[in-house]
Amino acid sequence: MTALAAVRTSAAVNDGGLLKPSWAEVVKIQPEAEGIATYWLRFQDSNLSKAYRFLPGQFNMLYMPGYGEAAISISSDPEQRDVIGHTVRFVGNVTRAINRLKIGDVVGIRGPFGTHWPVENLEGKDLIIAVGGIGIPPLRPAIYHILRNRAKFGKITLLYGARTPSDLLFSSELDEWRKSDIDIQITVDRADSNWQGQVGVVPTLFYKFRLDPTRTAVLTCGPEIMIRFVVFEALARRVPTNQIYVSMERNMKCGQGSCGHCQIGPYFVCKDGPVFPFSAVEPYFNVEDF
Amino acid sequence: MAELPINVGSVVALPKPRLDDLLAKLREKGYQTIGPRVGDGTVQYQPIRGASEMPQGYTSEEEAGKYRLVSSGNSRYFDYTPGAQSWKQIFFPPRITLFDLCKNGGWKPVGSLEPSPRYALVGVRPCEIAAIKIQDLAFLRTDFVDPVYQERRKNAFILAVNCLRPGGTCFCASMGTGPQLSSGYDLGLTEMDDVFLVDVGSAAGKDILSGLPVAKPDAAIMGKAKQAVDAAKTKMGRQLDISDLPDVLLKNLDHPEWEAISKRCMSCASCTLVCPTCFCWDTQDHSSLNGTETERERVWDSCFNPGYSYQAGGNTRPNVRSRYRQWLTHKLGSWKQQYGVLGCVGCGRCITWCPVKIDITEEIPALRKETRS
Amino acid sequence: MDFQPVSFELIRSIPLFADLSIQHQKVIAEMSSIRPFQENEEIFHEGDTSDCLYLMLDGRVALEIHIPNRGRSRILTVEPQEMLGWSGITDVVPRRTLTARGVCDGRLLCIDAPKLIKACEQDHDLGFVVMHHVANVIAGRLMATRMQLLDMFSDPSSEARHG
Repeated sequence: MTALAAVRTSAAVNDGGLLKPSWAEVVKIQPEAEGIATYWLRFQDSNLSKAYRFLPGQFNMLYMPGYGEAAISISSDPEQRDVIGHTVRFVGNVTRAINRLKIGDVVGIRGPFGTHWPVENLEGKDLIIAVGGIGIPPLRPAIYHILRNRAKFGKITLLYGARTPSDLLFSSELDEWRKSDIDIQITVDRADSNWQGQVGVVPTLFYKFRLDPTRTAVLTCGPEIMIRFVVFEALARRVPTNQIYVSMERNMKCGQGSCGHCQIGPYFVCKDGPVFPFSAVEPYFNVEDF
Repeated sequence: MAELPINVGSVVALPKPRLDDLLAKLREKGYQTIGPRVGDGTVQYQPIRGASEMPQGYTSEEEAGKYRLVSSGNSRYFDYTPGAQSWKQIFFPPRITLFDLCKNGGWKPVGSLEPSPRYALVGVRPCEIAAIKIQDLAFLRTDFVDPVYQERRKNAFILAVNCLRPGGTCFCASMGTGPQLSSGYDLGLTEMDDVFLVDVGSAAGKDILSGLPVAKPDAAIMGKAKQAVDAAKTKMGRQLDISDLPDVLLKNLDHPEWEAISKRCMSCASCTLVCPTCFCWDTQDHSSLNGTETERERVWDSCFNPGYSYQAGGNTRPNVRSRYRQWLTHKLGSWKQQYGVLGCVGCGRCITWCPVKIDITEEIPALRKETRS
Repeated sequence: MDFQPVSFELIRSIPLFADLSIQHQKVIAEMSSIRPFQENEEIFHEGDTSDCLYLMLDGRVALEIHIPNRGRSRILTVEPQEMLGWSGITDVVPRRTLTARGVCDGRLLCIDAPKLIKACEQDHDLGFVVMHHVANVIAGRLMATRMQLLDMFSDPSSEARHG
C-alpha cells in the first residue's frame, strides 16, 4: 500500500470506539440548489470547537438520533475554526432527516476521517480540478487553501459540471475565485436559451485547453462514471497515474476501517481514502461491480 | 500424590473424571465457562457448568450442506467437529448496544459499556485459535482498538483441545492452522482414553492447574498422543492449494466462474455468519415511539446483504456475482494485503452450512483454470 | 447575412488545418468565407439544408433542439477552434437536425460543403485529413451525448434501488 502517500490523521472527535458522537448546533443553513444545502455546525463543547482541525477532502459522520449516520464531506475553509460547513444532498433517510433540521437544532458529529487532497505536495504544479454535481463540496476546502497560497501554485483550472444551471453550487463564490487567477470552465448537461455558458460534459472540457503533463496534477470528484472519463482524458494527455487524485464514494459507516462496508480491494475507503492517487485504485477501477 | 512441578511448556496428565474439577476451578477463579453443548441437533457454545453437559459420546458427520451428530460409540468429549457457532459470538457479539440516548433538553447518553464477564472458552480447536488471532488483527489494530472486543477478549481464558478427528469439510492442514495446537492458549488438551494430556500454555493456565490431581505422563501415552495428532493431519476431509493466493483471485476478477457460482449462490449470508473470521458489522437505531429515546445497536452484517453495499445513488454490488466475489476475494485475497494473513482457517463451516453446497475448496481450483483471455 | 472572403493567412493560423499542405490550405481558403453572427442570431435552423461546414473562430454557439410543448433545449455549446455543422458533408444527415444560435457575438469560418466534398473526392489526401477531423468531431459529440444520456447528476434517490 505504498501508493498511499497521503497522510492519515486521527479523528479529532474521540468517539471512544463506540461511535459516540459529539454534539453540534446548526448555526446557519445555506440553501445551495434544489435538494442541496450547506449546514454550518458549531460544537457545543467550546474546547472541542477550538481543538477541531480537518484537512481538505476529509469527511465527518453526521448522526441523527433514531436515523443513523451519513458520511458528509466538509465543504468549508480548513482555516475557519468556529463553524464547520457540510454541504448535504438530501437523498437518503439520514440526509432527509437533516433536511428537517432548523437553526439551533443539534446533530451528532464524529470525525474528521480519511485522507485528504495532498495540496501540500502539489505546490509548484498546475492543477486541474475536475468536479461534477455534488463533487464540488469536497474540493472547496482545497480551493480555499489554494487561494490562500495562490502564489505557490502554477495554473489552476476548475472544470465544473452540473445537470442544469440551477444545480450549480457556490455560484456566488465562483467570480471571487476567478479574480484570484483561477480559470473556471463551467458546463451543464442541459439548459434553456437563457443560459449563456457552456453546455456539455466535464470530460470534454479537456478538449478546450492544453496541459503540460510534466507539471500537472488532476484532482477529481463526482459520480464515479464521470471520474472514469476524467481520468481517461487525463491519461490521454499523459498525466502520470500518481498525479491524478480521485475521491471515491462507498458505503461508509464507521470511519475506522472496521465495519467493512466501504472496501475496494485491499482498501477501506473511510480510512485509506476517500482521496486516492489513481495508481492505487487503478487495478479495480474498471472491474464491474467491484 | 507429590506436588508435580508445573511450568509454562509442561505437559501433565489429568484423569478424565477430573475435567469437572478443572471447570470448577475456572468458575472458582471467576470465569464464566462457555463450552460445547448439544442443542438444535448440533454443537453449540453455551454456558456450561460441568462435563456432563458436554457432547460426550458424540461425533459428527460433515459434508457440503450437511452436519449430523451421531453416536461415536466411545466416551470421548471432543470427537465432534464444531457446529455452526464459533467463538466470535463471544468476543464480537451478534448484537450489542453501543449506547442509549435520551432526549432531555438535548441528546444525553445514558449508561456506558457494561464490563464483560471473564470468559473461559472450553474446547477451542486449533483452527478456532487461528480464527481468534485473525479477528485480533481486525479489532485490536495499532491505529484502532475496538473497545467491545477488547473488553471481552483481554481477560478470556482459552482451554484448547487438539483436534484428533477432523471433519469431512475440514482443511486446516492446508491452511497451516491445525489440527495441532501451536500457541494462543492457556491450557491445551489432548484427549486420550483415560486421561487428558494438558499442555500448559500460559501463567494463567498454570495457575488453574495448581491443586488439581495431575501426574507426569509416561512416555507411552505421550507417544500415543503424538501418533494421534499426526494421524489427524491425514484425515482432513478437504484440502486446498493456497500457493498462488491471493493472486489467483485478485487477477481473475472477471473470471466466468464468478457468474457460474452466482447461479447457485442464494446470497443468504450463511457462510459469513458461520465464518469464525468474518468481522463486518452494521449499526441500527431503535427509537421509542415518542422519539425521546434511542438505542444505537451494533449488529453483524454480511457482504451478501443487499444493503451492505448500498449508497446514495444505488448499489455498488447489485448482484450475487459481485457479492460472492467480494466475499471470496476478501477472505482469500485482499485480507492478506490488509492484515498480512489470509482470512480463512480451513474450518469448513462455510461448506458445511451452505444450503446449496458451495465448496470453496472446489471454487478456488475452478478459478485457477485458464480462461479464454 | 454578410459573408466576408478569407485570407490564406487566416487558414494557416488555424490549428486544425496545421496538418494540411500549403496547397490544401489554399484550396480550403478559396472555398471559405467568414460568417459573423450576433448574440441570439440563428446561424442555421432545424430542417435547413446542410450546405456549410463551420469552424468557430470566436464567440460561442449553442446547439438547440425545439421540443414541442417544452420549448428550446440547449444541448451543446461550441467553442473557438471547434467544428460545427458536420452534417454538411454527410449524405445520411442531409438536413440540419439542430438549430445553431449565437450565445454572444462572434465569427465562424464557413466552408462550402459541396465544394469541399468535391475537392475531397478529387484528392484523397485532402479527403483523408478532412474526414479524419470530422470523425474526431463526431466521436467527441457521441461521447458527450452518451454521458448526457446517463444523466449522471440526476437525483439518485428518485431511482434508488435497495437490492
